[in-house]
Amino acid sequence: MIKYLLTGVITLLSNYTHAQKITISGYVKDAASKEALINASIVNANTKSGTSTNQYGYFSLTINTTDTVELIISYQGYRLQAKKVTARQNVQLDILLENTSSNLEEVVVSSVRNNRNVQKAQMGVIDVPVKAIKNFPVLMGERDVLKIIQLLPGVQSGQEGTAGFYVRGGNLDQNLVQLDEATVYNPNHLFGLFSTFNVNSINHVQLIKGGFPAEYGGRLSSILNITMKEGNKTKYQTEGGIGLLSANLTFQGPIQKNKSSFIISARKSHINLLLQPATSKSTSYSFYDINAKMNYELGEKDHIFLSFFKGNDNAGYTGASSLNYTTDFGNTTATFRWNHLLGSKIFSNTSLIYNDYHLGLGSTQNNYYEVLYTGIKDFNAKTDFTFTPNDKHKIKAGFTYTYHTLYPSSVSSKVPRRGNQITINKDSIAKRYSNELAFYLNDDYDVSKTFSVNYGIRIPHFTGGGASYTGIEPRVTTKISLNTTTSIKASWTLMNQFLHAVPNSTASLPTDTWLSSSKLIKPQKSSQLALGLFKNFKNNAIETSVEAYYKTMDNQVLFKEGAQVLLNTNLDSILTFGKGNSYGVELLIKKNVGRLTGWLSYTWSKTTQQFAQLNRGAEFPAAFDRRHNFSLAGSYELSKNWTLSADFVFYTGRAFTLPTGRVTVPVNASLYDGVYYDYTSRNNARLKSYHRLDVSFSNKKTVKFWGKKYEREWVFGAYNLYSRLNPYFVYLTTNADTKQPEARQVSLLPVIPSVSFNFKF
Amino acid sequence: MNKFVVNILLLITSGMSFLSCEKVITITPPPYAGKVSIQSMLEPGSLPIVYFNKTVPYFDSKINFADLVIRNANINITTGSATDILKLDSVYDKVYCEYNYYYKGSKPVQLNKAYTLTITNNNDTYTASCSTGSISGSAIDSTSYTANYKDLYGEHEGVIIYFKDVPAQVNYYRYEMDRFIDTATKKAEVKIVSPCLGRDSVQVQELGRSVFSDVGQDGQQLKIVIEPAYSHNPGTKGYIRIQSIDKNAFNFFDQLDKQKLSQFNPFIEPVFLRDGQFGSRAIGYFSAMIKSNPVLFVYPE
Repeated sequence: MIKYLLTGVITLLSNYTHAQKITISGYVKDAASKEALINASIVNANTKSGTSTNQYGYFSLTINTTDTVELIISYQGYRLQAKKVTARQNVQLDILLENTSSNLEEVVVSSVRNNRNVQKAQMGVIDVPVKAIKNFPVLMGERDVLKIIQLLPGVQSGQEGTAGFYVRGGNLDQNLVQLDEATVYNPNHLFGLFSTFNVNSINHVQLIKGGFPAEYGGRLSSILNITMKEGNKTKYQTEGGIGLLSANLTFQGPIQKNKSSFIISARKSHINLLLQPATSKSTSYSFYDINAKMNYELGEKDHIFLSFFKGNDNAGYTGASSLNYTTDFGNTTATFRWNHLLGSKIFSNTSLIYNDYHLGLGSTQNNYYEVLYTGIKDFNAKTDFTFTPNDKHKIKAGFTYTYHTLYPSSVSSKVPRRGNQITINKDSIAKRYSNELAFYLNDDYDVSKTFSVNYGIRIPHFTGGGASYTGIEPRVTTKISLNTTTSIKASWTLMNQFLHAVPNSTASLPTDTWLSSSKLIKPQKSSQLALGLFKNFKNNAIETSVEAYYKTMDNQVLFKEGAQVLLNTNLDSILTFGKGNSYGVELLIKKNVGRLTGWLSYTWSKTTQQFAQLNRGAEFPAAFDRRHNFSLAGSYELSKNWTLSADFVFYTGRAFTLPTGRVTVPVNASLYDGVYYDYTSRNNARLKSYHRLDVSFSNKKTVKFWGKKYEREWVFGAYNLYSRLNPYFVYLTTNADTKQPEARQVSLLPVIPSVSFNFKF
Repeated sequence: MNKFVVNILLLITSGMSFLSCEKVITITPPPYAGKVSIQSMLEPGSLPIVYFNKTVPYFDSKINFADLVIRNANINITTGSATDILKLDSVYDKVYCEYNYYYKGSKPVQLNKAYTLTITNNNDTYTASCSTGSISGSAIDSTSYTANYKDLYGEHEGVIIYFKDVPAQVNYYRYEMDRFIDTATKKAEVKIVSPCLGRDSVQVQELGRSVFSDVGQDGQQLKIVIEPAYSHNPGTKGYIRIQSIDKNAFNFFDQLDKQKLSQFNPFIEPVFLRDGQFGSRAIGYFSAMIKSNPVLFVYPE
């Protein structure tokens, strides 16, 4: 690998020494708000080579000196722009793209429409501009990022009513969710019914599920990057909405016109008001989230950002289905970032990040209870450099350091007949401290018009729990273009993960406890190989891809059989370690423009695990293994004002462990009933298949109110339109009359109609 | 939008949002190749008894011993050159209104002997060995009662037994109480419903769900606390014994206890019954035990 890196560096330097090249750099922004457009495409129409903007909307494109060059700039939901630039010396420009209010308005001004999905040496990456999110069905009046993510190929949702998503056979903890680079450990409201991310405050969402560039690490399965808006730099703007579950308000505007801006967005639930007539007093749910960000351009070369996020949920549920719980969980993050330009070819960013996550859960099921507290506090510092020496290379390098503090504790016991249940005092939990440091170097190299390679290396180092681990993570993604609309890509990545959330396979609530690596708990490791065919049709209006992957995962963690957590239990001692592997094929057909937009996604996958101390040492399906995962999401503009959106999902039921045999032990009288289970294998049964159709109609209009124009939107929707009673969990019991064993299925959400009102002025 | 329509929508949604639904479903479990269940604990001075039953698919309708017992099996227990051929027998259980079936020998078990159990059923043969010489009896020093005790099972009342461990060997123990119950008695807080019992009382042998080992406490004074299975009143009497059991019985009952905990407690991973003395084709144990002398116990409340 080092040999290849050296070769790459030498090659780029030889290119760099060539004269007769100029650099065009600058920012691509929304024309109205001056908001950065992330991952916008800038293509040299003469050579068809190009680049894309980074997380701050910045680009740098080095080309041969020429009289004029035509640049084609494109971004989904915005009008394409062709810009002629005199290319005799370095040029710095801000490119302003105009938002199209309708997908029908897109005007193709050039034959070179964005085909970066095909031409870029990157795979397993899906960008979701916030405009696309706003076109999709709402759940109980809320538009949601994670719900969109769960409709993408290779991504599976958790079970209804629980948090999280699973990517390519990885457990929940293997996804790194970042908001402005700060880790959000639990990005959910209402146990995963929707996320903590307020769409009105989001600029861009990117999911990486394979072919990870070296700048990303710390998780085995996916990186979900969410970038907050910077705030309107030209005028004050207010938008908000009220739905059945919550109300939200966003206010943004310039601090100093065209130079600095702010955005503050808040959302608060009012579910309790609606629940009270229908449920008992002990059932309650409340949540809120606040996003705030400000930025300031110190000059042409320096730009600082300050972001803040806080979200919290508090719930109590008593009654149905032998299931009671109380919970309180939340995330707080703060990020300070400093962008600095070193000339026109080197972009640097330095970040200082803080995040704090906690989950407190008290749950009672079948007269047993569990009390759990898990928390993580991180301090993170990182610096990244992006160097674009010429039109063939984009080199990234940097380091990141994180100081973790973890607070894991849980207790499980029978509900006492008298007296109080055990409680956990957060201050008395034994804290676990650890350090994570990583260096990386990555080059995105266009070797020729048809062959590109994105290669790099990341070296993470971990100390904590009396142990020290160093990893070497080579990353490589290659692309061979068959023509301008077709390419074949392959990638191979090694990843290490030093944090582990140990899942409980039987409880129906999210009781995962976060632990850091230690002498006993080795880092999780994965090796992922992926191969893909990418093809665009109709002048890139329709994107298609087929990707196949094979992933192995080592040092996976689960609880031992029969392990019961008591207050003084050393959690490390009740864990067991094994391996997993996953393989699958993912299909995506996506239509980006026109009256009908949307995508079809299908994933066939198989995920298994093997632990020496579980399932008699034999391989078994992972709890989140699902063979088929199909989703269809679309939005259709019925008229200028009316839009119909719908999504349909179908997936194979979750695996669970069902006893196959019954053993009667005549041991006279004891507290037990003398009937025991003969388990033949773990996760040997499936819940029934899950399917659901959500529909929403939205009516958007610009109207006058007190002489001023404002946009208003009514959204009418239905979640689970045909009221399919999808399984939440199954438990076994004995019929009191017949003494026969039977299985009972608990379902959560029937059809839920919704209405919401949004405004913007 | 019409305010009335909004109100109606709000009402419908609030009503439905948090309504969960629960129903009995039919699950087609994976095919189950049944096993046999063999349980036998030899006690010196008593006639050998072997429970020989079949296991059934989990949702099978067979739930009574009469349906589960395997009849016509050839079962014998040998020690040295002596062989005891066991025959099918039964006793009526007035609490559950059904017959319990077992195979019973005719030669009392002797101390300090090695025994081999051989069962032939159809074309299958199951064998296992144990020894009454590998265990030593203990003696109860004293007993007491506590209304509140906290352990793995939560907070519960408990019968406390103090006894001295037999030194210089690994020992395993189990609690036993012989007492009378009637239909006024509750088991595990559930009232006993027995049309066969009428107004009669019946003697039961109450066994502790947990088994104990002396690992780390060899030769020391031991204290065990047992949650009673049956309800009681002030003055209810019972006779307590400590069973000294061998390792085979300990391993079997210990995993049964752990499995039951995992069945009840949804926060515990399921416990698979592991292969024991009979290999993978049979679940159970063939072991020996020695009981201590009985001690009268009177519930104070």
